[in-house]
Amino acid sequence: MRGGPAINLYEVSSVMPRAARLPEGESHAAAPSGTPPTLESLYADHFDFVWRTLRRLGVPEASLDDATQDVFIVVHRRLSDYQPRWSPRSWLFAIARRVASDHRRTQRRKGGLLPIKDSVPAPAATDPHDGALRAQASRIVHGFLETLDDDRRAVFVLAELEQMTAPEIAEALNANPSTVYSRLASARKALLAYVQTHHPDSMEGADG
Amino acid sequence: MAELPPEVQRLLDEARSADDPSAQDRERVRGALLASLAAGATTAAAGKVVAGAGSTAGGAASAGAAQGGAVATSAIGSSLAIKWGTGLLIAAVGTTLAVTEPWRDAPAGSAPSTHAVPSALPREPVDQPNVSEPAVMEPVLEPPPVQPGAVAAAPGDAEAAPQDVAALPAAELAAEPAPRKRSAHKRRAKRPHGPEPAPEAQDQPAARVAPVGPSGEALEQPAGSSQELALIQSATRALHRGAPARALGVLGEHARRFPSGVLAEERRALRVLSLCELGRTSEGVRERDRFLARHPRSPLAERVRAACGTPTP
Repeated sequence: MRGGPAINLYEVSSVMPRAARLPEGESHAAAPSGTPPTLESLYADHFDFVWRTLRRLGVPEASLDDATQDVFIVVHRRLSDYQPRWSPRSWLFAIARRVASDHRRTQRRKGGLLPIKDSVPAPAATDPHDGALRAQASRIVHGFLETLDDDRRAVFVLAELEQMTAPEIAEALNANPSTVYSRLASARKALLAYVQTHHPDSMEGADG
Repeated sequence: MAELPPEVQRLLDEARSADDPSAQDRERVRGALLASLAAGATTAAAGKVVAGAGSTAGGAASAGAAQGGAVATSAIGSSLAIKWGTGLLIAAVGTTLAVTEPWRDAPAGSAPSTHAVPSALPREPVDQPNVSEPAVMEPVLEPPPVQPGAVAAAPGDAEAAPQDVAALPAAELAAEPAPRKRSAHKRRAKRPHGPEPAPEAQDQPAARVAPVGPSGEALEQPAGSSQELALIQSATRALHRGAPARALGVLGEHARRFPSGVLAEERRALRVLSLCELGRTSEGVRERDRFLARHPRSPLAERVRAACGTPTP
């Protein structure tokens, strides 16, 4: 894409999801058939998803607000293109993915990505122990995500972190479901290797 | 496909919830988004962002675009604002300024590219409990009535060839420069475009028949904000109808009752504008500079910066 070798967004040849089905879960509530979603409803239902996605696609903390705004500005402008048969999350992800790549590129121009420990804040938790565990897990996972190429990263985020189904992911990425499966398999393998190499302590007791 | 060992699965389970935004994140971004849509809508609609130069921020572009810009801004700002609490006043500020303070030239190329985006949101005022008056719809700024299914036409629309935007690739869709309202130094230059299938379509606004549907659900307004909002709205209206002294009075009341209210930033911005409008230039300049120092990234910074006629660098 436009000179950014690390990112292959042109694979997303269309933001318009190819599948006509709605995924399970929030999408149904957000887009009952026949009622076009509004900016408000998309924001209310999917802000968290967009935010998480941008974070997981490597948008630095300092740019998260801007990037999230960017996504919803694009949504606002393109809302009339939206078709109810599309999954809102698929559509939003396609937008977020591009926005994220822009922000990451901007970040690189400014002097490189922030170190993971700085770019991933410790999440708030009422129980300090839980909070520490979660923060540690989050750091590991984000560190791992940084090692993935863009395609596998997108699949991994949607599958393992958002727990979306393969068909829904295929829709979001405008990819073949079998491609989704193979990327996911590859990403899982990479995760295992990453954890074993960089965080063997978190693998204690594991067979692998 | 290889399953992950339970330890790794647990790691993912732990990490999953760590990326969620906080309630503050939601509110903060919502406010910024509203401001962007209200104030920078015309730039957004045109799909053009001024390249680089600090003085050519979206605020100036939309304001300089005068009537067309005002209409577009108002159409979008108000339709959103009707439902989105604080956006109401930000939209009002945007429209006020767009009309009353065409203080600087719009950058070349940006003024004619002011398009009204047909909002997919109904723009009829809806009842707002606890807000004394429905709002920002000032007659002079009243955008042309947008009937459901009608095209909201702005001057620039004529140049917008109809196109099937649905066919635009994802890359292009999201690639359009983000028209976030920002202080100028944060504004990004327009990016070079790669081999996109229909690069000329980049600059096309989303001008078409908007599938206007029935009203969606309004985002809930934060409790307790309605009185604060009403005050700021009142000040906005006063400023709008050429009564800056009255606006100052209302802003003073806001300052007393909500010194650290969520709309304090808007209050300060409106105060600068009111002072300048009143001709209390030295005060206005002082307050303006304080505002800019305090809120350098405010979505209102561009407008405030241009107040009193002597923009600071």
